[in-house]
Amino acid sequence: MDSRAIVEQQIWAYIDGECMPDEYQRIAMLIRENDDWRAIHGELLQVHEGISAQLELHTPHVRFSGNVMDAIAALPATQNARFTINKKVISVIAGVFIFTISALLLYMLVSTNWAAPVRDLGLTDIQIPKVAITAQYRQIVLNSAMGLIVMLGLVFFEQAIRMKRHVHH
Amino acid sequence: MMHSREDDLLVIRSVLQGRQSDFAILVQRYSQYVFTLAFRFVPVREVAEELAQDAFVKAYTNLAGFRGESKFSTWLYTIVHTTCLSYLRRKNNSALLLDEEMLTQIYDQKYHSQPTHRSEQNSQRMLLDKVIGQLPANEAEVICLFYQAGQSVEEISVITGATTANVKVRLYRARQKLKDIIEQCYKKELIE
Repeated sequence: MDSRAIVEQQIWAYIDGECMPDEYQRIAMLIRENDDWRAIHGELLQVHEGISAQLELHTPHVRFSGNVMDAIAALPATQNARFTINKKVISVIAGVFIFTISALLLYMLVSTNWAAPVRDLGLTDIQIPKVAITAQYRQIVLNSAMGLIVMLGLVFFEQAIRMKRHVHH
Repeated sequence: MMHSREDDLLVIRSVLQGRQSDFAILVQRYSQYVFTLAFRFVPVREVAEELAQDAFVKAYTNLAGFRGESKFSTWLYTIVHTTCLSYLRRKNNSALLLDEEMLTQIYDQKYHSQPTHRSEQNSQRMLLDKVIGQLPANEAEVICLFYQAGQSVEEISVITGATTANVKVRLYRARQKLKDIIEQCYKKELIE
């Protein structure tokens, strides 16, 4: 690379603001004090300003935005920007499953009669607690479950309507 | 007109909350930039529009993955860059895949075989645009990103996957070629 090319590269960095402050000061001083540097700076600045001022953006077809939005509306639900899987939710669900399975395994290991003969697994020793469910208690649980199901149904119905409205918008 | 980072983030948040139609704001905001960038890769209007549309659809489907670490425009232009590059690779006519020597040959053939009277007929603006269109795709892209899309060298490095030093070299080469053309034009004007 010849010396002029090296000088040009430094001046371009100066014009673009892509050099360190001390380097910037050094180049600024050279441009002020050295005729060659000043001439090259003038040339490059003219090119820089010429490109900045005269470059125009191309404009796509007038229907471009509409076409993009049509393409987006036609996307399957799984490719919707909103369709994101929250990793925290997955972690919580996984945690609950792992905890439940571990607890069950632990309970089985603890309650198993290891001293029993091979054929007798000691399952008869496991005592399942009997829960006394009264008719009144059963009714409350049933009503609560029904209420929850109806509420969830309404929430999903509202979401489905909203999604449909956005797709058609 | 450049838009602030916060403006874009507000729209993105709205889209992610389910207001799909708000994405049209981003499309309108960046359609010219995206189209111009695609046009720098493939100077065929219909194909460039198709690539630009494809890039916007990809941006929409991956919007939840935008973390806001960079400007939305930088993220979007990265998608445009990869979309155009994939297209060119598929078509197997990418100037980017050619070596530097071949790029120079293409450049020289295109420039110097141009009849001069055609250049004289055009305005400087159109001429400059034409000259940029004749640069190798990687140099034209850098000029477009730097001067038109307002991206810094660092951001162009992120978009193109090239090192900042490489981006600076591309920018230098492209400007050098543009400078030669501009100087030739001025000389002709002075002679006339």
